[in-house]
Amino acid sequence: MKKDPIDATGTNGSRSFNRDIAEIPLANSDHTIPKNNNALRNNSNQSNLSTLSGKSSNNPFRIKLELQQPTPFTPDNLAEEQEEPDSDFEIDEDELFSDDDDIFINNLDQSFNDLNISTSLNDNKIINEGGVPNLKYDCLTTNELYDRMLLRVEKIKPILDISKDDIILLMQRYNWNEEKLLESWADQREHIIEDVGLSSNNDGTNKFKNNNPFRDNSLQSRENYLCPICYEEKDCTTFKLECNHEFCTDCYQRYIKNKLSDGNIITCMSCSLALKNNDIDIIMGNNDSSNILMNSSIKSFIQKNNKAFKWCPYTDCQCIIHFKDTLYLSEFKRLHCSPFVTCKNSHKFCFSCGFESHSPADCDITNAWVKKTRNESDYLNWVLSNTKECPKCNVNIEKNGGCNHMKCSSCKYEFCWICDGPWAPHGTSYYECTQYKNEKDKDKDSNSSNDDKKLKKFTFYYRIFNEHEMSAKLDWKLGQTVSQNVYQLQEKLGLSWIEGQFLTDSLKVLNEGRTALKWSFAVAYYSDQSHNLTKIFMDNQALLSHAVESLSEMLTEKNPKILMEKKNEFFNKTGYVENRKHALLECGRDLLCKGICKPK
Amino acid sequence: MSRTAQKRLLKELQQLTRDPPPGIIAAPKTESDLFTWDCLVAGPPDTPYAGGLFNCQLQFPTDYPLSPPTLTFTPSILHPNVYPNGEVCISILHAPGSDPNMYELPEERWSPVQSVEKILLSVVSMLSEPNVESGANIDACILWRDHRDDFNKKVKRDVLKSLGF
Repeated sequence: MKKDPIDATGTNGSRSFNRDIAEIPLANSDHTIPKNNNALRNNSNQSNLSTLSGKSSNNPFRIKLELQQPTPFTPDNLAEEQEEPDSDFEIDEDELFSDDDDIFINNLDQSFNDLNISTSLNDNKIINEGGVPNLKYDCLTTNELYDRMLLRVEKIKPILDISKDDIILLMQRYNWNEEKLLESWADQREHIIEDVGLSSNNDGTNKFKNNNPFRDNSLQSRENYLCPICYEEKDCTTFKLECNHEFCTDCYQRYIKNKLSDGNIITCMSCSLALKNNDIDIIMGNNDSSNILMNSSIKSFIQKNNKAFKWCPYTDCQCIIHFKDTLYLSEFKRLHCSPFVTCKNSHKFCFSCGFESHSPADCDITNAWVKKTRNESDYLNWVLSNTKECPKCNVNIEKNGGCNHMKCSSCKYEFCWICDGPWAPHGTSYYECTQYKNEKDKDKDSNSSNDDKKLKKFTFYYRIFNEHEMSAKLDWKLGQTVSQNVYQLQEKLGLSWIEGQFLTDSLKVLNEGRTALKWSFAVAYYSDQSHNLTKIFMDNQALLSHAVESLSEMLTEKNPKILMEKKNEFFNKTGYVENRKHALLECGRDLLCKGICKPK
Repeated sequence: MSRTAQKRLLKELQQLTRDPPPGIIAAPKTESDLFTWDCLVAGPPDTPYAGGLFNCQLQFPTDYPLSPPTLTFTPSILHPNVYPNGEVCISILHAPGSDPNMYELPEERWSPVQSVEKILLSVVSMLSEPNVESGANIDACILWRDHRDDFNKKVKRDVLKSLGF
């Protein structure tokens, strides 16, 4: 990929946003095209015009039925807050999996920014929201989630009266949904046992019982054993389940290693009898393997339940956000606000779309904008013409061969490639879906390409958006001097830590203001320019932008004495930025609610 | 990994040459590459494919026998379970996985205990009993289901072609 050097004229310390150099926005928070992060990031140093003209990059990446990985995005300004996940997190099972009835709080004083739970600064700002429900969520790690699963297993153990390992298998099969499991257990217990592989087909159903005397599944030493997998006759140890299918441990180990990351139940190599965690550990000779399997099982559980669970999209962040009540998410959508959550490592992101906090834009605008900004090459056209979004979870899917029976690798939804409908009704009527509807795709293409006027307008907003992205980066550097300043205040003036905190708070407000400002240009781009409200919105933008710049300038002050003298001014300025930000957010939401701003 | 695969393929080859199943010949294409095999499958009697001698290619992955090989008819034949490009779509060539709808029984799927011989025997039985429930070539499916005579005629042409006429 061609890489243009950064244009040096704009970067020399100038913080005025229209002189800063542009960077492609959010190349990092790509949640539809997981493989391509680096490419896009590299691309981000290109100057704007070359990117827009589409000459510079030719990027034939492919998404094969890839699932949506925890999307690595790395806003540098948050990287400083990375820390290890707190492993002593307390487990409260009731809190996680029971329904919360009191979640619907119709508090008229509910502040819009209460949604951003962690930002205590905003709490005193009260904007009437008219019943946006409070966000209740948990932040977990995979291990914590697994521990909770184990607690649930313990809970249903007395009901099923079988061993823990067996229940874990059943739970895996039923996607950790114990209600479904118990229901089918009551109805067709024997069928389930066979289905899950707790007993083999030919020898009755009684063998799975707890402390089963028949279960003789330990390793055996054999001489001159001919393993039916590797066809080698050798002295080796072998393993077999009740089904008496015996294989050498070398082959078994290779087989299991291959399957650990799938998160599915591992069966005997020859029949459908399941290997329990215990068996796996015996074969592999350590305790880690079954843990790996459980981890991958939990991961696939999260991916299948991606409405209630989301990975933190930041790089290397292992946090999982769990929503107790996903019903209210639709309420958020209706009111054009976004459910921003903060994980344990203080990464703030939108729960519905996985981007950074993007208010005043809502998820649709954000999505439209980000897809639009990627239109640098034939890239978007390629995605539009060669992929389809999974009808259920909207992951982009490329069909790279095979029949029309598609299975989303992310949410496991099965659908028909041609009609987008669920696959189940197609089961035996393969011939029904032969009419190819290409018109839709063609319409999209003609709309998205060759419209010069729109391109000019887009270039304008795109540039500003990028300038703010860049300024945010510079602000991060500023953040480092600020923390130095705080330190100096303590050292030189003998002030207590708490008295220096106004600087950190200001920086935080500055960051938030910058982000809001950045996304407001996406909103502005999609708004009807002739409408009065849009003009008001733009005035608000100008005011916020002015406030942000002057605060940013104040923060560059290095002399601790002057900083302390200006303390009041800092309070005023931060308050002002806060106010302007709220005005802008409100105005933006108005635009969205009234339909003046629509993603095209 | 690929050493295991090589050893196993060698053993399978030995077994196939020592005790070949009727109507099937299979061997590596060249001596240097054990992972590509050429096979000849005779059309089973009492089917439209009877008398034909069909050439197909087996391509083994490096992690064989953990993953199944792919089987391609060269040239392609008209059959409901064979893609127009010649690729064969039968359950034994599919790696098992979670299959919530239970289309295919786990026993029918690929597992390391299956072998080249079993695959080729499955192909022979596929030739005599097409499975139109999960067809690969939809045109062939419809032809087979609704216009059997046409289907038979076209297959006969394939048979003649396979014999070099």
